[in-house]
Amino acid sequence: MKFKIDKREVLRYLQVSKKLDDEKLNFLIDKTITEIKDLINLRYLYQKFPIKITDQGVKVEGTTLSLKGESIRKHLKDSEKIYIMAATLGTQVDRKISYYEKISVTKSMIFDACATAAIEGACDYIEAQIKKEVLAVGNEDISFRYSPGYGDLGIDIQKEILRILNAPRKIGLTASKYNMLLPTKSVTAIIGVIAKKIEVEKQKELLNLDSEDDKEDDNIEARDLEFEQRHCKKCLLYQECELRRKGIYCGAKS
Amino acid sequence: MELKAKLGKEIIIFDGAMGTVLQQRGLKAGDIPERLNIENSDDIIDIHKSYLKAGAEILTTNTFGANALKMNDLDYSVEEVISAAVQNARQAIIESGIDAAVALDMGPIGELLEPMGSLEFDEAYNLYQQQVLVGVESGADLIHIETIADLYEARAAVLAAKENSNLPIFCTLTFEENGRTFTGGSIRSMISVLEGLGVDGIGLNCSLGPEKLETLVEEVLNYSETPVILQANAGLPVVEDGETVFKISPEEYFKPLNRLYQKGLAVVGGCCGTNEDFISLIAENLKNKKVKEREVIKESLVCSPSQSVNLEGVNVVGERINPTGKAVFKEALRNGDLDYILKVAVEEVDAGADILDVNLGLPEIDEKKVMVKVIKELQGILDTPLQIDSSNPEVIEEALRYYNGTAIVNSVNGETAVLEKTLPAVKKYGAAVIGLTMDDDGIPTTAEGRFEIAERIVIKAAEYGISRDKIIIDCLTLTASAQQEGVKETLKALKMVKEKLGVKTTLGISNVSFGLPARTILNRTFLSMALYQGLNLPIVDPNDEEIMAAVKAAAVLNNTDQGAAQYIEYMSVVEKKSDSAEPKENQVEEDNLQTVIIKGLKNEAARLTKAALKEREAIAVVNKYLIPALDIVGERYEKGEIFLPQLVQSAETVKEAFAVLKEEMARTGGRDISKGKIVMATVKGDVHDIGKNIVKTVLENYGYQIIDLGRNVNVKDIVNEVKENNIKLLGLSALMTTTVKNMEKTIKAVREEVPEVKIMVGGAVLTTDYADMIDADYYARDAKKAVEIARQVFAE
Repeated sequence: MKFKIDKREVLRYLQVSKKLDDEKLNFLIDKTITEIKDLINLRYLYQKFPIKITDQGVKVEGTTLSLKGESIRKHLKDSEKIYIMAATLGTQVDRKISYYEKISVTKSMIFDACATAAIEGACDYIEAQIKKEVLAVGNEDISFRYSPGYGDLGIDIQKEILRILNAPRKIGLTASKYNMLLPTKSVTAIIGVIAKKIEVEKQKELLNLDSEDDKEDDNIEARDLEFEQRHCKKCLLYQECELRRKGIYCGAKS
Repeated sequence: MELKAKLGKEIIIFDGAMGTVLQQRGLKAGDIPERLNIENSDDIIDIHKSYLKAGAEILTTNTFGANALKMNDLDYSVEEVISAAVQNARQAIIESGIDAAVALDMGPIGELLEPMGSLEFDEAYNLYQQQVLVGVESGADLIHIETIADLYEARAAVLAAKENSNLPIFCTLTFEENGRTFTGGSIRSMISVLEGLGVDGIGLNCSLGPEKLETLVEEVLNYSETPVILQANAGLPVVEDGETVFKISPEEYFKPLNRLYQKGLAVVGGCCGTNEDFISLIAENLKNKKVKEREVIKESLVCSPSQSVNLEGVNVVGERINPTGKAVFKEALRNGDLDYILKVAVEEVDAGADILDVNLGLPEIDEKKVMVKVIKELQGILDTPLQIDSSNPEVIEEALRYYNGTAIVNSVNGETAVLEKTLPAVKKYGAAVIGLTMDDDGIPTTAEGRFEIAERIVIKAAEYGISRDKIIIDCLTLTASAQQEGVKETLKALKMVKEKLGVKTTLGISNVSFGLPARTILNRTFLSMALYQGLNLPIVDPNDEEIMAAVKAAAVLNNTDQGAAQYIEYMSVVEKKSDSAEPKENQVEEDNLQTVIIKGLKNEAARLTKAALKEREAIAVVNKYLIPALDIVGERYEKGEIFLPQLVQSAETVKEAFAVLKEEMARTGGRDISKGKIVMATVKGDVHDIGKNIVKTVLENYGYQIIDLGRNVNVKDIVNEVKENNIKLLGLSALMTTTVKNMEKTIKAVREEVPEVKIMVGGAVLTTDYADMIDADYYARDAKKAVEIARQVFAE
């Protein structure tokens, strides 16, 4: 398997914020990480598109897609091109989750966490490939990946994204009428191509923390503020999120 | 063109791609090609004409995605789109003066079917049915179902075609290089199922070029008697300058195609990336050529999408899914506790069962409804083929409709009425069928008598077009203690049937030892004797290790297990079972149930609970051990000393304890310790419900009885369950912002009919505010809160 499943991520998805002090459970997690590797059938694709930022939103040229909302506009404001990617671990992983749901709640929870860590790991791997491609061109780089469901970018565009990539036919990735990606351990994302110079500046900016957003100073040692800047700030549930407050986080994709 | 006359005798040439050609002509990514049937019919007619001129004998209509779900995004109806498409094809034929058949093209719906998706089988069927009806009305000559990646979807489409038209049906599936569809389907299963349903053409299309598909097509040619179709892609697409291009030439495409033609391919065309040049070359070389003869290996298979079992040889059928004589099983059925049934199934499969018998015959339940539910659940988690066991032909027919694969029907017998009621469904769904050698006069005492009935069954089945390789005869195991001389007659009949009728055989082994001591020894010996006489499908308890060992031993002695390789491996695994790498639970045996729960030692719970029951009543065990342990665990979780996995592990340990308590109560009829019933469901649209299961386990730990309706549940079903069971508390979970709307709908409907019931909601996206907005009574942020809510509600 070309990508890794990070055990720390698995623990994070299991809402474990410190060390897991249980030999049996640790063994079970290790076993599950090995088990899931045989069930993963990673399929992915990505394609580059020129974009045009207008008042109505971000128009993806050569396609019928127009991305609406402020957050994606902000995210792509320095880009003229984007990559749209889609990835899935396949149906066998889902089938196993369903199987364990009937056998053991603990096992199903662990397996599910491993699967989520796996698709995230896969996306990091795919993103690295895209980065390589972009860097090879010269003075360009990529921004981070942005999925429907982040900020005010609604998930109602899932079907269209998949249609543009011909994902159902090519990698068996579909969206239900509730805009849920199926198989469930799947991701679609938009990655902006930016000038290299800007990327460095942006990273610097991101690491500066806006004091107004950190109203609750509770638990600040346990929290990963950089992560929050990169991900949580854009989320619809930013204010209410218990997991963020506890420093556990979710990374759950809708 | 007389399609049916040519099919399988002379090569038939399909057209090439439509979608990729349209894209080359400027169709934007994401644009819906079907609209062009109405807005740009000239272009479509043009493309059709080019294929006709190239030599295509079938035109596929531009209706690949013309189902109601996808056409929702257009301003046109399915009817408008399909009739325009057919008309365009006809127009092309008229204008070019070249005759051809017009095929109604139906691609996948675009949503994943249950259980891995949320689209129900019936919904898929309806969507296909609509297309078929319009296609027939518009005058299509053929129905072409293509690019299907899920065998369940293929079944829905083929049945829709069969039940709503008399047109010939072609069905081609899409396979990846590993020989599987995206949903794990195999080629053998595809052949078994599609031939079982009766398609006129079968094969592969899309995903890869002809060279990469060659071995897969060869497999179809080797095992399918139906004319074989191939429409491959023009290789793998690459993106050049933002454009998707297919690199292989018509010549490169034709080479592997030609090799397959030599091996018996009957229908050829092209998929993505092909165009009229590809079709031209094919037509130049293959038009009107005779289809080559081929040897087909006829197999007697039963299957699920990913697993097939060859009925030749010996395969173990698990008998445990059957309520007869099992109090706990009956109770589970009455309570709708499907999880119990699934656990039994998993145990059987883990023990090595090759096929599972499913019998849910209990007068108090709606057998038809429950059977379908159980089958859907089973096939959602297990790949093992199923044997549908019922005395009700309606139950059998319904089960066959929803079973995803080729099943065994258990059973028919020599009675004409029974045969006439059940065989039509067996034929329609391509199932295998067990025939019991008995009739209205009872069970013949002699082997000859049983043979005679077997023969009668085989002849009658032939009238329905059911061949012998689908027939399994059960010569009926009699009880040795009651009819001792009958045992040998059964074995004699088995041998006769096997030798003279060329069918498979089965026997319910356990019957033989009823009423005698040391049943396992009698069962095992009878089994061995029967295997020697030619028994194919012993119906046994696979969790009886002695029985399974006897099957393995017989394979060695019958010379089917070459070099005893499987036997040796099986025995070494059996010996190794106690020796695992798993950390040994404390060598000091825990003898305190409370400690075991806190430590989450699931495997120790049953033993200690049984011990505790020797001294106390069930309710006392709950109050003295279970509840205090749970409270301690809950406290540690709140303090952050332990985390969710440990909490859940402890909850599961308590669940094991409860299982023992429940069994005890079913036996003794003791005081019901349930604190109250709660209905729980994950609303429509969600596919997994781990969170709900965690809450359910914890609630059960605290003594509440949960009626779990599962996931993707209809509003109607939730309302009915709440009404019929006088439910005080309903728990709903939803995972996404989009499915929360269904939660709102459900709450509204429930409030209308059962205003007194309290409703709590939970799920990743829910908040207190949202819960208020949709008129829930409580927001259960986690399992602990759910318990508090339950306590509150049931205190009233």
